[in-house]
Amino acid sequence: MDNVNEGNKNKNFKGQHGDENLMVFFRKHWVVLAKDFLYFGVFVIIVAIAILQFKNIQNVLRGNGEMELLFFMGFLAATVYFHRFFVNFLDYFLKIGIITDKRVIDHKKSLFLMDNMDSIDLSNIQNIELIKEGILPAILKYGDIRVFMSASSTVKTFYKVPLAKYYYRRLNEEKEIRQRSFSSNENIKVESQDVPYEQIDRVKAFNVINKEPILTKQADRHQREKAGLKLTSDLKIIPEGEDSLKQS
Amino acid sequence: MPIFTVLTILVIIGSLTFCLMTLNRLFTYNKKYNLKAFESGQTKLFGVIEKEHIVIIYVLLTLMHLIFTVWFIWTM
Repeated sequence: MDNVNEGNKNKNFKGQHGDENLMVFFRKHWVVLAKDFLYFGVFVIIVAIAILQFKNIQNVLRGNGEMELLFFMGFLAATVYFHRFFVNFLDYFLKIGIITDKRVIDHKKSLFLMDNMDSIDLSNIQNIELIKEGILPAILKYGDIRVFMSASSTVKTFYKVPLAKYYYRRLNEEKEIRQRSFSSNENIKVESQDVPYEQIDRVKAFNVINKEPILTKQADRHQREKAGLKLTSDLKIIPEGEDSLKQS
Repeated sequence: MPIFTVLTILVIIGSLTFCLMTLNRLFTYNKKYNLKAFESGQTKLFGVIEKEHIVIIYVLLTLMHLIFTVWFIWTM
């Protein structure tokens, strides 16, 4: 059901449409920061040792111009690294993926240098893949979500999404709702020729031969009712394994 | 004043200025992006850490950096 609400314009994020509702958003998994944490840990140890050895360092530097210059270079590098680490850390919170009731948005933003937004209308999505390969993704429960567009061969990938299965399911649900509302609004009946892959998934039990619907033994009650079929002698039942294209 | 002291003070001023610029950018971001209501354990770092916690740690460490550097120069 569409929520027509013009008051949502830029309500939750910059670029939000007036009638668009934010559903969920996600950040990358913490594993993208693991290397930075490791290096910062080493940096903290070095700084702690330097602080504990303040007196010795001061004795070395006193009256020695070259050592002062060397120490200053190290101090400058340490200061630059310290600020760079925290800016990267804060940038982690700014890079988000947003799922609304109309679009999925990849928002890559940093504090100073970057502000990219890539949005895909849910009605243009043909297929969504969840990819979880390797030990770390299995243990730490993250994965990649790949979005395939229906009009072109473009693929959009969201990398290292935490709890990827949840967001994959959520994205699928929103896509279904959006595409259903699109087809009901335009009075377009979704036939197998229009959305072949989804139709095969949804109505996989049906084969049409000579425009007569044929049921396999695996067809469920809902699909039968939806197709308006009754279990009469007009229907041809095909046992498992038999070629469905053969006439019985 | 020795050149080493002058340069170190310049680095401290630059460090503080950069920290303030970062905070300003963050406040500007927070005005445009209101995602607080949608934050959950899945969006926070390790389930608990938010952006605001990192800002507090960053500011505290910058001040510590300032204090230790001033103390180092003062006692040299």
